[in-house]
Amino acid sequence: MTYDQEISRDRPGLFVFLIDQSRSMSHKIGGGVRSKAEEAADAVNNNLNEIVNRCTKSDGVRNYFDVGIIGYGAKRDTAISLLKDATILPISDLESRILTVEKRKQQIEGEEIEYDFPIWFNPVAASDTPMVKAISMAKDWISQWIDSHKESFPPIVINITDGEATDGDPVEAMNDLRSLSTEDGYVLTWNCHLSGATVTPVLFPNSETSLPEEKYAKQMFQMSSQLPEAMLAIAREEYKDIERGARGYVFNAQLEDLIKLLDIGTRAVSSLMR
Amino acid sequence: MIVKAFTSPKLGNSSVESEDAYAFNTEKGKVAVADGASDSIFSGLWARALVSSYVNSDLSLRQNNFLDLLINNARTKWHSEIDWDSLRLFIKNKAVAGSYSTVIFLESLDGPEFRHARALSVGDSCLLIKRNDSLISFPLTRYEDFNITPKLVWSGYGAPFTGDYRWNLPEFLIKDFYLKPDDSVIVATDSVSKWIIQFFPDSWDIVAGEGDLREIFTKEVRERRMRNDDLTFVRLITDS
Repeated sequence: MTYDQEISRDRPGLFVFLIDQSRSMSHKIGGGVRSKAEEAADAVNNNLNEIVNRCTKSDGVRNYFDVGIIGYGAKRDTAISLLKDATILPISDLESRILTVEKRKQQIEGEEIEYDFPIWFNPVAASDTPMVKAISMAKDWISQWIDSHKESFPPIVINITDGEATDGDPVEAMNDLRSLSTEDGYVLTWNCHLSGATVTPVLFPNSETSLPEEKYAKQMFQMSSQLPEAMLAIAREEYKDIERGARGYVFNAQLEDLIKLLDIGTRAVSSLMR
Repeated sequence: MIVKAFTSPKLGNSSVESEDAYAFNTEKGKVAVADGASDSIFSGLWARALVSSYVNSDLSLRQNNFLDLLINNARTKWHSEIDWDSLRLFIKNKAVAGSYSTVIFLESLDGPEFRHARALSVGDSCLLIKRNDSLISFPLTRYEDFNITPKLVWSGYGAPFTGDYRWNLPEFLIKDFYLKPDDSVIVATDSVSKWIIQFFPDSWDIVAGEGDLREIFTKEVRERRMRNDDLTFVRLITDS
């Protein structure tokens, strides 16, 4: 398993986002003023926009990636696709799934420029945490996707949550998901635990001994894949101390860490785009 | 002077998707090669604007403000060729940031003789000169020096900006060369340049030979000796 397959329109990559929509996501993120649900939705919408941007050429959006988004906990014991009337979509189809656009500003070469920021899903914080259901749904989607993309770079699943699963053992479910593979590698699962407290996060740990004495931290660590070599190099550009064997996991993440985690995934895979 | 050019899109792409550009004008003794950056949009158009604005005008590397004038001309051309009002959301969002390209210009300073030449380079497109059994290259001399973040020429913003903003000249290198009668000269985008430097002299024999270059380069890419990239070079054969 080499994790080095070029990403092309013939062999697209796949991102699947799992987003916790449980009640506790209404609490503020550590050190911030907005809720965890708002920050998570904003970060993922932003990341989708970044992936689209990387795939956009003069002739339109090229399908270098497919994307799926699963929300869990908006209704009791329920996981659903957050892309209207769709499961996994080619990236070019995201334009037709935009809910609304907001005017935002960005800095380019020193100038502040207004642009239309697309929103694909809104923040929700409502019920319990059916994480196992979300992982099982992702497994069904990904299993089908792999059937028709055997030579592609393996799918990347990014789970953003602030709490413990309320519907069973997510480690077993995630291990089951990670047993799927393309010819290039096993499905990669990354986890981001959002914190409400202003505490020092644990970033890309490589062993359970670097984790705090907390059951949930160990569980999430076990649910996270080791970073392949190329991703490790890109993660080190942001976090110099990351060691070999590091896993795609951030415990007690602040907003900045969530954004970096998403960005590392996008950049690492985009570097394989041809 | 005889000029031979080769260009090929990266494997899996069509020729209209290539973001490389080349142009030459034998009467004016000018050659230019540019490599539009994949990260930006309309960069093939920008690369073409850069090379054509040079070879089809009287702008010369002798001028102190050459690059400033050239970029302004190329920017006007680039901007006018895009139908800004019809762009869809994602393209519009990206296009406002403008386009980027590497470029190298080569000009004879003694007319058609092409003995005294000047090169100006931004980024990693290279001038390569084979002299006897050795290789002279500019601006990069070692294949290890090619990386994914070369210096680039920026087009300036797209619409809704019209041109009333500050921009800085890119970092460039300029050098004069005195060519000998038996020298062989190539101006190439980065992946070809890197491959020629890394596998010289065999690589030179290949590009100067009669083989099917598309087939050979496909094999080189598949065997990972060459990056899967748009590939472009212009070969000058000076009259001896």
